[in-house]
Amino acid sequence: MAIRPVYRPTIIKKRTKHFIRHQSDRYKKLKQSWRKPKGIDNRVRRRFKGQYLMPSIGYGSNKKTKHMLPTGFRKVLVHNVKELEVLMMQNRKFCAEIAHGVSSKKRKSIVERAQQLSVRVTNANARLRSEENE
Amino acid sequence: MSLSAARPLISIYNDKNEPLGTTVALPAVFKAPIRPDIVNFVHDNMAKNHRQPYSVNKDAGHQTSAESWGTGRAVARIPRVRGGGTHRSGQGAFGNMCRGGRMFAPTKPWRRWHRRININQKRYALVSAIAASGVPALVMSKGHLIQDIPELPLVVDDKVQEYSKTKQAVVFLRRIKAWADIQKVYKSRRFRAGKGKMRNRRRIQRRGPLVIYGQDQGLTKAFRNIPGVDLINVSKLNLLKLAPGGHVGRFVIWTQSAFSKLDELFGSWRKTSKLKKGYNLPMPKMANTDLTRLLKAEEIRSVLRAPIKQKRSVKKLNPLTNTRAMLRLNPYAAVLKRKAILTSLQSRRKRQELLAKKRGITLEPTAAEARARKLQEQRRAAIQKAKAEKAKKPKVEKEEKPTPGKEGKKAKTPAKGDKTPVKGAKAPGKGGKAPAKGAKAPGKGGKAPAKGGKAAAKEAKVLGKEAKAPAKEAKAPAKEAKAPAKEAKAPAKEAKAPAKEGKAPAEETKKVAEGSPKK
Amino acid sequence: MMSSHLTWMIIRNNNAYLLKKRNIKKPFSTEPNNLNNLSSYRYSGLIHKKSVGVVAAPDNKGFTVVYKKSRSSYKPAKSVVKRTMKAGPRRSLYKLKRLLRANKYRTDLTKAALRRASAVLKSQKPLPIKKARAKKSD
Repeated sequence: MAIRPVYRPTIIKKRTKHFIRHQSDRYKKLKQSWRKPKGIDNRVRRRFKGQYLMPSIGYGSNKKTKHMLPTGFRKVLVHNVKELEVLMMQNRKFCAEIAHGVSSKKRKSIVERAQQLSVRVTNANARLRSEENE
Repeated sequence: MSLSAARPLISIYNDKNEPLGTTVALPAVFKAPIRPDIVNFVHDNMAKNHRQPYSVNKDAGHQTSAESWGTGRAVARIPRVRGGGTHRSGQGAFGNMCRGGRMFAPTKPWRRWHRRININQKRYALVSAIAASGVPALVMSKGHLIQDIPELPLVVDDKVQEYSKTKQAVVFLRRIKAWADIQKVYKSRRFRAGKGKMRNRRRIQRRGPLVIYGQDQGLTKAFRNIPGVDLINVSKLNLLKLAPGGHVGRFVIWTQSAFSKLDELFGSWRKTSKLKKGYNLPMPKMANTDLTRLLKAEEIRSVLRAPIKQKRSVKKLNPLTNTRAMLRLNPYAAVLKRKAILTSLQSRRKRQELLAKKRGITLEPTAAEARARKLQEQRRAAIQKAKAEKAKKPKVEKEEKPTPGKEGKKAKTPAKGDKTPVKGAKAPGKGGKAPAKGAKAPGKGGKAPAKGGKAAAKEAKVLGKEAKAPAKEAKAPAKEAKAPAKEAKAPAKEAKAPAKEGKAPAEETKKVAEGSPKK
Repeated sequence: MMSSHLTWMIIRNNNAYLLKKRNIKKPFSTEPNNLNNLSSYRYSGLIHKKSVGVVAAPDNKGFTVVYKKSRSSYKPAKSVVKRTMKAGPRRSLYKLKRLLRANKYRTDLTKAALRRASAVLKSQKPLPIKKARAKKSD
């Protein structure tokens, strides 16, 4: 089954933690998702020691491994068999991910075709269970 | 594209998809430059021209006498409805943030709804769109299924104009193989995504072929109920139909009368249009757009600077660890290395023998050491024999006469050179010997007999001959080169050839000399 | 007449076959005769006078090579040539190679065509035993 990628570098993430919003720990109304502080006296903005770190371009991933899955593939969202066929000649660079709205019936046909084309599917086993139970 | 390009003849098809036999010259419009930017711009502006003005009531949200309370009342300074006795009093008014207030920047009916477009631009866009409709690649790229139609631009007999029944029209489209495109329209019918559904734009479908006719003798009624098909008269060509979405390349079916009218309509570069006052086709910016041809043209090449060929950065390798890097620096390293290996093997063997003697064990004849010893002895004998023969031969050979003195030396030298590899030869394998010899011999003497020997050695390598007797061969070729007739061995044959050809082998041998150390 | 370069510039950013995907820079293309399904000048199946396509044969045994006759490029029905090869991989791939090499027909696409043909052939093989294993694990 396992189709291997042509090129599988070691993927280095410079930071794996989320950047969280300043004072989101203090107030429930502030969600964790990052917002850049804009205040004139803001200590996070002024990058004081011991404060939250701010995201910056330096944390960016290497272009070669950007968006790459740990398997070494990049995923392509696929809605139907026709979109899958496109990956036929790139089956060692890209893998398919079946879109979430696709029914289990059509999923089956996509997975089957993917197997023939030896295209890797990230969520090949999704929605299989319910069918067995029936 | 170029102006001078010949205008091909377009054949006319009847309603049964057979060529009528009559042909029309391609109207000059089809050679006009295709400018997607102009088409897009004009389409953009034209599409705005059927908008109807709309706006909110100008009084909406302003029908109160609200006034701000001013500061000091601990409420926002927004205007507030006057009076008391009702819920409304004291509520904010006017502002876009207020309930019952006006919208932000209320829309006005005097917005600039329509656009004036320069007439020459409009014509340019039209001309581009028509030209694009004659290029299969562009029509296909728009998604039209035209792979089975007989020709592009597709011109049909004027009989089609007389159709009055949809049935006829359908049969015609089937015959001309345009039905696939309409099938695609059927398949594409769906509900619109988004709010448009509730705004009387519920269903959508894609566009099919566009039929352009000269005179409507009933065909509009025949075709109009077929989904996706549009019909227009040549004299009322419309960019919105010819380039829907602002993208060129609609699939167009022309009737003959419409097609032949195009030259009158647009003229050409030389002839002005008959129907449009003082209009000529736009000049293309480039006469030739074929980039590969342009870049190959001598006129252009001669002006251009030569390409800068960047050298790839060479990766530096440590010669002490990387054998290849070492060989590049010092080809002789191969010899040294080989020698080192051989001597170490030899010394080990000797040690083993000595040890055996000390212990008083007689080595079995099958033991590695014993076999090696035997082999060495055999080879030594062979060398001696060869030497003896060689000493006689050179004088007999006529070709080699000019250098008899040196030959004598050479006869020794290869032999000498041979010895070392022969001694240590057992382990390193068969193929290994030949290159080693090749390496040594050129170092000592570059003369004729030696050359033959080398060449043969090379061939022996190349051919992958069993190197069982490379020791013999290495010497033998030296002989064989001189007295080719005697030897009948396969490698010997090859050795002859270089010997006969005077210079060629010499060159070859040089190559060998260069090449062999690396190996 | 129209050069392929000009056509490409017109088509490049907008055509019916363009398929862009999230986080992938180079767009795909779904048009016929595109050997790698990539949207690029070289592989485009529309713009060139000569182009090669490889698809599975109609009965899904062997593959069909589709190529264009450059002469009748304005006659879509006549320009396309289809050749079905179903003589087993070794022979038919060889035939394909010969077909493209012999006429110097898009030599830049020969390798890609062979790749695609073998991918098609591979997809027609019955799936390996692994299927059974998958069943067990389910």
